Amino acid sequence: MSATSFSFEYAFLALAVLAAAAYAWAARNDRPSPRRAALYATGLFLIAASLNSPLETIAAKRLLLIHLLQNALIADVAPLLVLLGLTPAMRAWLNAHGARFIRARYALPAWLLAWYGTHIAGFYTWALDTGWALNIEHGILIAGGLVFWWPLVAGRLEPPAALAYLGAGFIGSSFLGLALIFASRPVYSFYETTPRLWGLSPTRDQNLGGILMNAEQTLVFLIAIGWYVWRLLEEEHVSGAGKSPAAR
Amino acid sequence: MVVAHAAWSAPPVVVGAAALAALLFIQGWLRLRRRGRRDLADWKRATLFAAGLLVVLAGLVSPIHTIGENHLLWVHMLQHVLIGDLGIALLVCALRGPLLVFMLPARVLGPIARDRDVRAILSFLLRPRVAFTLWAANLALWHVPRFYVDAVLHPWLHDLEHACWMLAGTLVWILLVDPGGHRRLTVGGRVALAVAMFAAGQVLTDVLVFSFHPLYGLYHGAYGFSALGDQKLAGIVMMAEQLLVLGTLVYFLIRPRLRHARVATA
Repeated sequence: MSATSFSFEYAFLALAVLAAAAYAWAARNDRPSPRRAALYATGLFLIAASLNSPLETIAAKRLLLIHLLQNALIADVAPLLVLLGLTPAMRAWLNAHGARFIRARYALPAWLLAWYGTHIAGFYTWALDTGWALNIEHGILIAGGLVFWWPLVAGRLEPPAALAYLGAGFIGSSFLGLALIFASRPVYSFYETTPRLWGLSPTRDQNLGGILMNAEQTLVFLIAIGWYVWRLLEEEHVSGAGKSPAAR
Repeated sequence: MVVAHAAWSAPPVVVGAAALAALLFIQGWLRLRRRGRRDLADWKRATLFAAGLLVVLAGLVSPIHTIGENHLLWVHMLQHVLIGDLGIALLVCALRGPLLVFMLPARVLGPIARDRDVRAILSFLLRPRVAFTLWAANLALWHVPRFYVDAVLHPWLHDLEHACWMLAGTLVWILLVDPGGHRRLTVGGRVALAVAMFAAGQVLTDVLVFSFHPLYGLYHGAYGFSALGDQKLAGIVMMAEQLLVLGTLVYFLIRPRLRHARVATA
């Protein structure tokens, strides 16, 4: 199969269509702003496109680097965009239908468990070998991402708590990328025998994957942390609590 | 067995400066305690100061210096974060409150405090934007491969580099810890400065980790590290140290608000 051929994970294509339809249905009475709708659409597009395109072909048949990029997109970026695309009324509806039970103290360990659990060599290789189990891997990652970002997007955490949550998430999740950056032998045996692309050896492919994953997480988390720092400053400005005579 | 190139070194200026700093701290600490303010000059402060001084000395006189200078980039990076970040942070934390003033004898402090030029310069350097810009520029400048290599090859330039690290570190850590209680930054501002420092450091980390080729020609790998592996590790050392030191600071800054939030929820 050529690296530019399309591969599909139909389940996620169907889920994306269903999620879009649900959003359109909910938007009849609660019209989202264009910005929210664009965020939601981008989130769904990232999930659907990264799992149903040549990216999927390369990820599942050639390069770990692309597989890790795919995982980072569906676990970190896409869930956040999807949740940011929800209107307050949609979030309230979700809260009333079970999402209120997603507490930060459980969400963070659950997300880390999903993150590391799906990247354990045995599970990862099994999913690649069977093909169909990739759906499970990707489903866990998307669900983990939604659970992780929910307490933040739902406004459950004040800026200081949100900063602590994000800091713990960033540090807690970074070890996987670091391990892959420095591993001198391939961790995932599946990619030792796959046809190579762009002249990347299995080890180099793995190192680059770790770098990409680490860079993506750094960017996403720094943006989120920056947002909450800005809110912290805004709160201080409004309350006047942090008024500092010597501030410049 | 001590390997010849991993030896200790004791430059008289470094040892002399450390001894002077220790003496000044001890006399200020004792003076404050004699005035009955043991709460402001307790053993915790003494421990923090000693730890800070030891961390800086470890960076400048231990094998970290010789190995970093001659063999491994990541050890050189470790040296820089020890003397410009961790060590300075501990020292500034130790000097919070009146201890900062008591550390300098009245004969020295008086003229400095009254000198308008000195005050104007300090006031300018301690503006958050100025201090951060200097810190970030220092970080960027000394990692330009040409300057980095020149500094390693020329001892006077290397000393200047280390002095710049310590000065830039002192400026930002004074803002972060606020030992004099000047409140140049609010708590949010201090968190923002810490995040900005981490983000700037992360740019350097990414450059070092992302590079496909070694950037600093002097380092060819040693002790089992390849040149590229050594460089990547240098980036990670920077990131890990910043996460540890700045993360700890941010935790202490937001901890009261976390408690407040918990109490409010209860």
